[in-house]
Amino acid sequence: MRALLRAELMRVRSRSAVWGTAVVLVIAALGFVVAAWDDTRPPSPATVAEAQQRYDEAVATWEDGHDDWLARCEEQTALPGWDDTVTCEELYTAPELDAFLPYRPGLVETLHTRFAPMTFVVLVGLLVMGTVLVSGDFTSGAMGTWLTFAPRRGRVVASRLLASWAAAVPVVLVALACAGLGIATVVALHDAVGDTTGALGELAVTTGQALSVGLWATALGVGLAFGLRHGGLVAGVVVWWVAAIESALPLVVPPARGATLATNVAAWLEGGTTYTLEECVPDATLGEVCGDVVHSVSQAQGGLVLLVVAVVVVGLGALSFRVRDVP
Amino acid sequence: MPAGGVHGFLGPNGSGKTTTIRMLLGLARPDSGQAHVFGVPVPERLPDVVGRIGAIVEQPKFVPTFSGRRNLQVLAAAIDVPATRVDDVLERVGLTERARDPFRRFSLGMKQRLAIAATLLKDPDLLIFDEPTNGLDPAGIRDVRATMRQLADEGRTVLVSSHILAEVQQVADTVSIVARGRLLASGPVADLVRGREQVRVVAPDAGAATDVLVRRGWSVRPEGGALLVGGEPDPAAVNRALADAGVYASEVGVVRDDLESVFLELTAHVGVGGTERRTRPTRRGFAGREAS
Repeated sequence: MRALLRAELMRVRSRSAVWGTAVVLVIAALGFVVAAWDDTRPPSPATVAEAQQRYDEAVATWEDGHDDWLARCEEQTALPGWDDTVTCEELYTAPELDAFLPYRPGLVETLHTRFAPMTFVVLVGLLVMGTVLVSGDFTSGAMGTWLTFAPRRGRVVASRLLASWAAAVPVVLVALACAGLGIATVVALHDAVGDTTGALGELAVTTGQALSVGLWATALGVGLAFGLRHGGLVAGVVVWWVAAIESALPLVVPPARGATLATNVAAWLEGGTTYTLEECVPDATLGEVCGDVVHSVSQAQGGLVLLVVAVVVVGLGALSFRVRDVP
Repeated sequence: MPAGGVHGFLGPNGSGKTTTIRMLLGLARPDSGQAHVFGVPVPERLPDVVGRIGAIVEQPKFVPTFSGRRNLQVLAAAIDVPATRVDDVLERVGLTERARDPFRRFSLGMKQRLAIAATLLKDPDLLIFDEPTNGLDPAGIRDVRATMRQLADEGRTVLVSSHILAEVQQVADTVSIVARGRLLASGPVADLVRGREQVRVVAPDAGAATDVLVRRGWSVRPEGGALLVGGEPDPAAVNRALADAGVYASEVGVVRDDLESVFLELTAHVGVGGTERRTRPTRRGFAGREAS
């Protein structure tokens, strides 16, 4: 098994599917960096001038109406029962220039909006990579040659899965490093870092989530490819699943929403999630009363569902590979 | 099949040659029956003996984007063979210069040579070549044939399946002939062909010669201006019989059927894809050791 794994590691190192996935994920990461650059870039002189003009107008309006407004406020606050912890001066503050300039998020917020979505990109990318790493050998016929060297099919599946995981980790880390470092760099260049409390936590959490989801997606890809043996078939099944099970089924059978992969992935990534169902209960006077009921899916439940799905898909793929003839 | 030498595995297209080989290699599951390689049942215990078997099934199939060397390196790693052996086998099949080219850019002949190199990584006792010359040009066919002969001369057993009989007859020591998944004949090529020899006689008085030979119990068939004498006669005996009767032959010689004739005769009555019409196996067993 050790020799087989070493051979599989050699193989994945040379596979264009791995390098291609890495390149695609890095390009996606650079896309998020560009988005972060756009989010945090300083306003142009024209924008500043326009904001300054609107600010000056607002100040003028504030100054013009200040006395009248204060007078009305004093009258109101003099009435009995008014909460006098806030003074009229505090309520009627002067306009600030920042309010007229485009909003520029700080590092933590930018990481949250532009780094965290990398998880979805990683999921899709590694699903494709895991699939191609297996289906490519069926398409080329190289799997048959491989089996004349390594006839124990269970070991072939296990070593291919482990090697795919080993390839997935650096691919994810490189892509996330590009995204994280790129985003931090552009935010710093734009002097928009702000309060950095929680930035490292955001990076660590997203990296962990992307890795876990990436390995899960890789396993799904490997399992599906061993079962279906063709990348096109795997793509067809995935599209059908998304359309039929993830999208249409919850519309027809609303309680199924809690069992969809989308819900459970969200639960895993977001530390739990909720979904709303309309439920009706008998009522003595109205006959039936309907209302929205919020159901929650815990992170543990989401993780367990994803684990079971991965085990089932890989198990079925391995079983299919074991019992079917190899071309 | 016997250990050592080249064993031809013959049959018409669709007769089950590749399926048999794929079952021996664990790539296809038999519906029933048993197979043994090196005395162990396969595919159940194939892992025990797979290190002694090198095989090319149908066309050579490798990772298209990998170089020839990379493909072999990965296979070598899977069986724990030192990387230096890759260069050895590449040199042996004459691919050293092109080893860095991607497999997808290889010509068919180069792919075949790479596949042979892959089989040699294991230093196998048994080599299985399935239709190894399909699509090759004459020079490629000659190279593959020479390689098979050379491997057999090194003491290895080579099983070569083919439907190109002349090619097999040139290189094989023994053959098995199958059709519709059934073994029709098996044995040394010389044995299969022997008994199908006829003596060709040209005599000025063909009628008298026919009478003499028929009286001696041989079958006689006129062909052109000659007589073909069947029934395993000795040319000298035929000549003597004629001379004793005062009939003198102007020409006496031996005509031998080739493997193709044997093959066509055996498979003529067995449909490839249709109904079996007649099967009378002409089995000739092997003596001595058996490789599988």
